[in-house]
This record gives sequence, C-alpha cells and structure tokens, in this order.
Amino acid sequence: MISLFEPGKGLSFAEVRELQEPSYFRDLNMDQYASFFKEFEVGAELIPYFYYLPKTKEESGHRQSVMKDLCDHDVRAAVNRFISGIGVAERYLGYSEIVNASVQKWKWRLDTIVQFYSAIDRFCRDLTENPPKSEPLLKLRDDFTAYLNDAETVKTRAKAEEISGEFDKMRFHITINKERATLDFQYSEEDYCSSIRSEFPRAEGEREENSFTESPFGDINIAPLEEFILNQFMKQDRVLFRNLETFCGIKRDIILPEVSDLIREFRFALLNLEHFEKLKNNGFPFSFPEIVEDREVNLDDCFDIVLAAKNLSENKEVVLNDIMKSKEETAILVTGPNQGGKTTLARAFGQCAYFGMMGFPVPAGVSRLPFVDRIFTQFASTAGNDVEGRLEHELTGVKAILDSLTDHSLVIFNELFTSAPTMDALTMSRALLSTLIEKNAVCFVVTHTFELAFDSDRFVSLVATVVEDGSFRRTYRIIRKSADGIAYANSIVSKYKLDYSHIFGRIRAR
Amino acid sequence: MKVNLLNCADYVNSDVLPFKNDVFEDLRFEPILNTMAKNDKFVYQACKNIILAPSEDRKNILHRQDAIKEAVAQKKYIFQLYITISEIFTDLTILKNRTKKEGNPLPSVRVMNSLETLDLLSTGLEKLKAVIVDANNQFEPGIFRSFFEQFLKEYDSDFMLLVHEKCQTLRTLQIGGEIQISGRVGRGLKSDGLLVNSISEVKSKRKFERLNAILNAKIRKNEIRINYEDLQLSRDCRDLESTGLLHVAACFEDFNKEISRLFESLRTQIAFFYGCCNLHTHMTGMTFGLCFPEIAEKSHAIETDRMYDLSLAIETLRAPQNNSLRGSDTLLYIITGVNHGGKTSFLRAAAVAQIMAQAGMFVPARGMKTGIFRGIFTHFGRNEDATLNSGRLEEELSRLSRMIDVMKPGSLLFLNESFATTSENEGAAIADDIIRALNDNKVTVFFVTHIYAYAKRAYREHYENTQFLQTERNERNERTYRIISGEPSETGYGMEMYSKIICGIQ
Repeated sequence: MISLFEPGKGLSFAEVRELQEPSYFRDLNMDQYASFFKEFEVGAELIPYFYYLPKTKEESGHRQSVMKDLCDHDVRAAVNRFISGIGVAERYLGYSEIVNASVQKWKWRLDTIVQFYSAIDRFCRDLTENPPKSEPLLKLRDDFTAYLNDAETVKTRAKAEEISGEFDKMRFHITINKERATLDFQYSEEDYCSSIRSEFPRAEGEREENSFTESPFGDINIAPLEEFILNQFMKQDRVLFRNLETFCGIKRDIILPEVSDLIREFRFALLNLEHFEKLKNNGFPFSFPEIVEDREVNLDDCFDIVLAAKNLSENKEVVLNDIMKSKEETAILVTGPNQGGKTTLARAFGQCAYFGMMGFPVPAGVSRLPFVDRIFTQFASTAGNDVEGRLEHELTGVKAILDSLTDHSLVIFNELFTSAPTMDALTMSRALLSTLIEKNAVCFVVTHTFELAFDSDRFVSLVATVVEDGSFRRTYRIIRKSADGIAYANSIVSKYKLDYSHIFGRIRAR
Repeated sequence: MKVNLLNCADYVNSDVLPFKNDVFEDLRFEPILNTMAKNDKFVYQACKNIILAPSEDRKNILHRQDAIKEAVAQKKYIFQLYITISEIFTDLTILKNRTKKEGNPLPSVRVMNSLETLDLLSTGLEKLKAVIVDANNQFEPGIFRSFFEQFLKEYDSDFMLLVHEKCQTLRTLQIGGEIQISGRVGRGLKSDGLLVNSISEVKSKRKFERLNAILNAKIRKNEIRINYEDLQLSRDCRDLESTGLLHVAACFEDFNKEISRLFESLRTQIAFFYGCCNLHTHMTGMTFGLCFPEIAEKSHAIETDRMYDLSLAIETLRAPQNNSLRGSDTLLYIITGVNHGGKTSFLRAAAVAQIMAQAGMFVPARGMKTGIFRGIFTHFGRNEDATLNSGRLEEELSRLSRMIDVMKPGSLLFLNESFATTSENEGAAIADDIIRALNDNKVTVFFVTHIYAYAKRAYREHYENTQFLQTERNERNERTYRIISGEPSETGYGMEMYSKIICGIQ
C-alpha cells in the first residue's frame, strides 16, 4: 500500500534485507560511509537500503522530491514526530509481549492501538497543516487519511479510545508514615513542590514537571503496590476490565507491517540527510543535482564524503574539485602524479552519481548529473601476487562489466592495467574506451597512460597538480588541463579563494 | 535575580573576536592580565573572557564605561565584595568535593546534603548583604547603587526568615513525617503522574489516637489500609516515600542553583571590576595616561592622542613612546620603516586600545575617539618558526582565508609582516589584491610591511583613504620609536643589519 520512495511499488523490508552489497560499493568507499549507520541503535538493519539503486529517472526524481521535502523544517518535524510516535507504539507492543500479568498484557495492547492510530492521525494533520510538495508524501498522507476514515478503522479506534478513556480516569491517593500507609481515591491536584517554588525564586527558564520524573516502580511489570491499587479499581468496575479482555484478550496485528517498513525508509533517509547536514554545517557544500537525460556533467566543489568526515574529525582540510563535461564530450580522463588525489576524485565522482540517483543531495556545491541506472567500477587490483594474475583478475572484471552494460551506465576505471607493459596498457585502454563510448556509457577513467588524453578532443582531461617549487608537493587539486604557467603563489591564492573577486563576494555576503 | 552590572548576555554572544587565541598571543595580553589579576587565577580568567569578548553595541559599551568609572571611584568596596564572594566559594567548593566523594548516596543523605548547601548559601547571602548595606551608603546613584538596592529588596529580612523556616520543616521531616501522594493509572496500568500533595509532621501519638476515634467511621469507609506486614508492599511504600522526598528536595536544589548562579555571575563580574581597579591603580601610579574613549555612533575613524603599548609600558616600567593617530576617512594604514623601530608596538597599541574600548574599558592613551568595529582580527607573520619552506605562505594564506570566512563589512584587520614569505613582487601583488578587496568592503586595515614595492605603488598611485606612516628618526638618524606620517622610503634595513652584524657598526 505505502512506500516512501516509490508509491505502490517499493520493496518491503523483507525484500530489501535480501539485497547484496553491489560491487562498486567498496571501490567508492561507500561501505565505510554506510558503516556510520551502525552507530545508531536501529541503524545497522537499514544498511541494505543502500544497495538498491533506482531503475528509472522518474524513480530517482520521486526520491529527490521526497528528500527535498524532508529538508523542509516543518515536514522534517512532522516526520520525526511520526517516527517517534510509531516508535512508542512499537515499544508498547513489545511490552505487551514480555509482561507477566495478563491484564497488563491487554492494557499494553490497548495502549498500542490508541498510540498507533493517534501517531498516524497526528502525521496526517501535520502534513495537512504544512503540506509537503512531493507526490509520494502527498499520496502517503492521502492513503493514511483514507485508512483512518475506513469504517473498520473508525470502529476499532473508537472502541479502543472509549476503554482507554475509562482507564485514564483512574486516580488514587496514598498516605505514608512510619506506622501505616493507606490508600483512598481522594486524588488531589495540590502540589507541595509548586508551593515551595512559589515561595522561592527559581533559576529562570527551567520549568520542570512537578510530578515525579523518576518513578519508584521503574520495571514495566506492575509492582506489588500497583497491583494492590489495581485490585481496588477492579472491585469497583469489573465490567471495564471484562471489556478490556474482550477487546484485547486475543493477540492481533496492530501495527501494520507496511508502516514499520515505512518508518525504516524514513529513518534511512533522515540518517543520511542529518549526516550531510553535519558536514554542511562545517562548510562542506551539498546540493540537489539536476538530473539530465544527456550526458552532461557539472560538479562544482565536489569531494569524497568519507574523506571529508574523516578529515573533519582530525581537523584536516579537504580540497574541493570541479568536474565538468559537456554533453558532446565522451569521457573524463584523469592523469597526473601518484598520490595526487586522483582516486579520491574518482570516488567523489562516483559518490555524487550514486547519491544523486538515490535522490539525496550530492557532496558538491552545484551539480548536474546524467541519469544512470547502473554504476560499475573497476579499481586497480591488488588481488593475486603475480603480475599476470592481477591483469587477469582486472580483465575478468572488465569483461563482466561490458557484459552487463545498460543504456545508462556509469563506468569508473581507476588505474587499470598497471601491471601490463605501457604500450599494451595503452592499446587495451583505447580499445576499452571506444567500446564504452559506443555503448553510450558515462566514462570516468583515471589512468597513468597520459597519451590516452590526446586521443580525442572530445575527452575531458583533468590533471592532478603539484606545487611548482621543485618539491612536487601535492595540492590534491585537480584541474582541467590548460597551459601550466601558473605560479605557485597564485595557485595557493586561488586555492584559498583569496583573489579580489572571491574576497569581495565572501565578505559582501554577510 | 540577574546581575547586570556588565550586560553579560552581550559578552557571552560576542563574535567581534572570532580568533581569540591569535589575538591574545599577537597583542601580548598576558602582562596586562597579570597586572589586573594580581595572582588571582579567577580574576585572570574572568578578565580575559570579558576583554576578549568586546561588544558591538554602543549603549552597552557606554553602560560599562559608567560602571567601571563607578567602580574605580570606590575601589575599597569592590575589593571587599570580591573577597566576600571568594570566601563563599571556598566553602562551597569544600562541600562540593565532600559530596562528590560520597558517590551516589542514599535518598536521606542526598536530602541532608541539599540542606547543608542551603545553609551555606543563606549564610553567604547574609554576609554579602552586610557588605552591600555598607557599600550602598558610599556609592553615588548609578549602576552599582541600583543593583545594591534591587539586591536588598529581593533578599530582605522576610525572605531570609522564610529560608530559615523551610530548612527547619525539612529537618523535622527527616526525623519522621507524613507524606501524601496522588497519582493515576497510566499506560500499561503502571502508575503515572505521581504528585506530592503535602508533607507534614505526625501529630503526637495521643492526639492522633483521639483524632482517629472521632473520625473512625469515616476513615474506615474511605480508606484502605496497606498492610506493612506484606514485605513487598511495605518495600514499595518505602520506595515511594523516598522518591517523593527526593523530589521535594530537588525543589530546594532549584533554589540552591539560583543562588549559586547569582554568586557565580556576581563573582565573575566583580572580578572584572576588581581587575580594572588593579590596572587603573597600577597605571595611574606610574602616571601614564588612561582615558575613557569617546565612542562615535557611525564613523569608523580612529583618533588617538598619545597612545602607547600597554604591555610594553607594564613590562619596561617606562613611559613608552606616545603615538597619535588621525584617521577621519582612513581605511588603510600602511606602516613602513626600520626594524625594531616601533612598528609592531604601534600596531599592538592601536589594536589593544580598540579592543579595550569595545570592552567598555579605559584605554592606554591621553585621549581617544573611535567607532565600533564588527570584527577585530590580527594576522601576524609567524616569523619565529624560521624554517623557510613553501608551506609558510600557504599557512599564512589559509589562516587569512579562515578569517575572511567570518569577516563582516566594517571589520578591522591588523596585518603584521604578512605575505613576506614569497618574493617581493608576488607578495606585493597578493597584498594589493587582498587589501583592495577588504577596503572595498569597508574593512579597515593596518598593514605593517617591508614589501616596499607595495607601499611605493600605493603611495605613487594615491590610493584612496590611505595613510602612510613610518618609523621616525631623529637628526642623528637614530630611531625614536615614534611613528609619524610620511612617504614610504626604502629604508635599507637590510643594509643596516648587514652593517651592524657584519661590520659591527651601531
């Protein structure tokens, strides 16, 4: 019935759980990225959601529209309330399964029902007050509204609330001293604490609940004293307790499995968005990409999201790079010295494409990306001890990729064929590239055979730069190759955006 | 009650100095703070926090000026106030350390501790009150007087009596009283919303029995006895009682917190005034000029009369070279001249004066008129780490870039020998680009530099709103350590140093 990402079609959690980690995951360091989910209580089980890449541009677009909604403050608040509301219902349901006393079991079930409906109800009302813009969320709201208005639901809910309301009226009063303790029903609102507080000035802005924050009966089972009290109520109103038993005596499905799945999808989306926001607050740019049919690429200030998080924790800087490719251009080739940031750029590019297709913002300031439904990567192999073994391993991988190419594939090769003689590597790379271009794949190739870049003026050539002071220190800045007469100092000035127009703009903005 | 002698909220939120550590090191605040603190670590820290959080609000600055003027006129009472509060804190710290050792004590012990703190605080309040009553007679009407009066009104004798009474009630409760609790049946049939209705002394046994006899019928009808012989039930009752008791004690903890906070904020603020008094005494004792600056409403002009480097004056105990500054529309001050000619000292004097001015303090000068800058930055060349490598320019520029990240129009930047880690021509080009962009954004720049190519170009091309300053020499060509205006000249400082070191000529 309901799915956040693809109304009517989405995968159930049971199906998602069966998904395998795609082969590009490790190459793009996405496995490291995903592992941060494990820090969260409910995060680990969500990791398989990473493994499903949308199949159509429309699907990507739907997801993006949902994510944009989730970036809206009010919608986000509504969703968070919904998640915690359903979470409470789930907790109650859990209690009902572990408590000992049957009467308590029933009451936890009753509370689950009331809580479940009220969470959905609240969600619908929230989304009516602050309507989302995306089709899937609007549909979700309408489906839920229809569900709540369904005759069966209305009946169940009314009954549950009626019984629950009776229980809510139960009030008691206890007097304790050294000699004796008594129970009566003269409930009083009189609050000794507030009388103290009115006589004494208080620290400002700290209104606490006047009722106990720590309960003396912490366990979820009823304590003997609570049972004692309850027995008195039971004597007073046996009918109510019988009604409770009739209504909740038998176990039934209270929380729709689809809703639990939906909550997982929401959590998955929010955990990612919150992670991005954390980086964003530390100055890393993110943007929702425009997803295009042609094969144009435009990424301003993109970066490797895993490296960014790591460097942030170590207080190290991350260099941002631009990648641009017009629709006429056929491939992006990256050359330059080792350790110059090429692999990082390849990952950044792959991650941008991945997150973009998943509907998320991408780690780049401005972004336009072609739609892709498959991502293939082949990074230099370290498998096999001998040279031939490595080459063979790589070629087998390449073959598998060529066999599964779709009309909308993204292929990222990183330092292939390093174990082959240079001329061979060049020949192999040429052949491979022309096949890929023929198949319309978006190609991103990091290569040590720089001659490749001269093959066609339709190749975008990016070069990892070094500091030109003879030390060949890496800048990790990768630029579209042009005349290389740039002086060292100027390159630093532009790296830190300290030229006139940048400074002017940076300060003027405040 | 809130202590508002300093308008604290403002200094907590100040972002005029986003790079406090750089500013602190570059401008050498250490000797100044030492003079203020007189070996008291708390005063040192309080003064540091407050001075390094200058205000952007003219009203606020003038308020502080008034408060400091009042304090300086009554140094004796400021000292007494500070000593009294410090003593209270010593006692509190002792108690706090003791209770910390107890770990997680029983509810009854926790209630006792809470009571003891209450005792200490109310005694402290009494002591403080005594000093304030005294002081109130001496201060002229103003900021301090209205604070004193508010304090005396808030904590009048009725209030002190109330505190005393409540302490007594709680004590008897410790010995044995009666607690009444109401609650409801909540989720999962667990009790919920428990509320302490009242706590009272149990009447004497005989009286109680008599009362019982009278109300016997009624009691039996409405009350159900909870049997203490059932051990589980009686244990639950005990738990309920002590949780309720703790809950009540927590209300007093709120009061404790409020009074502790009052002391804390008063302590910090008085410490600052105490520091100002100390500095004032020290400097006037040496007959160096101090003045409260005139704060202009809109203008960014800095004008000073005989301004000097405060930390240098404190350290050398000599009157440092006075400098005056006239800067109506100036956005750029280019300062050139020989090494050790007083350039850095001049830069520090101006920067420290501006920061102290915006902190609402008096400044090291005979006279000063200045505006309010939205941000104050120092960018001093880190010449000390002398390793000449390509990373230095990068370090400098990345540091500057971080500043520009948060710089607003209407800021003030002190550049000291920046961009000197590359060739002169490159340095000049970088400096020119950066400074023009800053000036065009109404950022005022002081630039001490040896990049003669830059200074000369600025002079030749008559850069707008620019003043050229340089180190003065007397007729015998000796340094006077004064900064005067004039055309930047190639000083040949290198030659001078060469002669001095290689040829041994002074």
